[in-house]
Amino acid sequence: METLLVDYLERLQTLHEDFIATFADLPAEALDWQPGADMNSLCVLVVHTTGSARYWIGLAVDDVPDRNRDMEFQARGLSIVELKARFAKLETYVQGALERITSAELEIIRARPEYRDEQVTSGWALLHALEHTGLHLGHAQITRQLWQQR
Amino acid sequence: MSDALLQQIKQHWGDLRGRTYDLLDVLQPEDFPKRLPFAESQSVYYQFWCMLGTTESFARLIEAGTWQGWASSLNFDPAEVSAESIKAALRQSDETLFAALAGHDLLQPYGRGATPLRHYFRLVEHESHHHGQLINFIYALNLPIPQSWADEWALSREA
Repeated sequence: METLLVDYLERLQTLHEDFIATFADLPAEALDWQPGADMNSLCVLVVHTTGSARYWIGLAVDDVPDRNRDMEFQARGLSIVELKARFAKLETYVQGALERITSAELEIIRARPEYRDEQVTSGWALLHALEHTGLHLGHAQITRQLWQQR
Repeated sequence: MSDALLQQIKQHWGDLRGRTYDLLDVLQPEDFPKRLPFAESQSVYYQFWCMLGTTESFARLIEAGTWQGWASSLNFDPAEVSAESIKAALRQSDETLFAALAGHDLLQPYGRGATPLRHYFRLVEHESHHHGQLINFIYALNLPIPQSWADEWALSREA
């Protein structure tokens, strides 16, 4: 794997470790707790974040999965072990995906299957997955603080 | 490769930083000092102060190849700034960042192994991390949802 992609994987793994730290020591009831109306639980944030990353990284390597985004926001009742497993499964996938591409391929244009008129480069799709994971990590950290201060 | 990569990064940063500007556009001056309801919470303004300082500091890191220390050019006190002055400082930091990135081969490691692109990855993480925190501020403090945030992250609020 090229250095650029090794760096990318390492940064994604670091975000995952920080994400897991937001819920790993919380009771089960905290995982489905919502801070308020229209606000998401930690369970939803994990399911959505890993589902989104699988989609965008899959798009980058032309391997888009079937994904029901709306269902990600209905997730509840998953255990800490199950939520951790989401990150582990994703990392296994990402490692394999990044071994199949080179930095030169990051300029390839990819069309989103469900939005044929929406095209992005593979590089943009990878950056978006990293950005989206960082976004919801910040989201999850504040959600944890709100749980602790409820 | 590097020129094309730089163009992709500029597009990406433009999209990401653009959402920071879009939030600034819908906030009122009285929103900046607001905090979440727990003692450790930073203010809404702190998020912008930190995003700016990190962009400025990472631009210096990318330029020099070594960490030059963290500093934000904005005053820490929200009473001393306006949305326009925040935006002006952010725009200047965008230019400084792009100039630093343009001056290097993005895939060529500095002496100890990190590449300019790796530093950009971390800057992306930082900016988006603040956006994620701000989503909770938006909902908890009933702040307006910028249209770009609603579109990008499917944010909505029940009537």
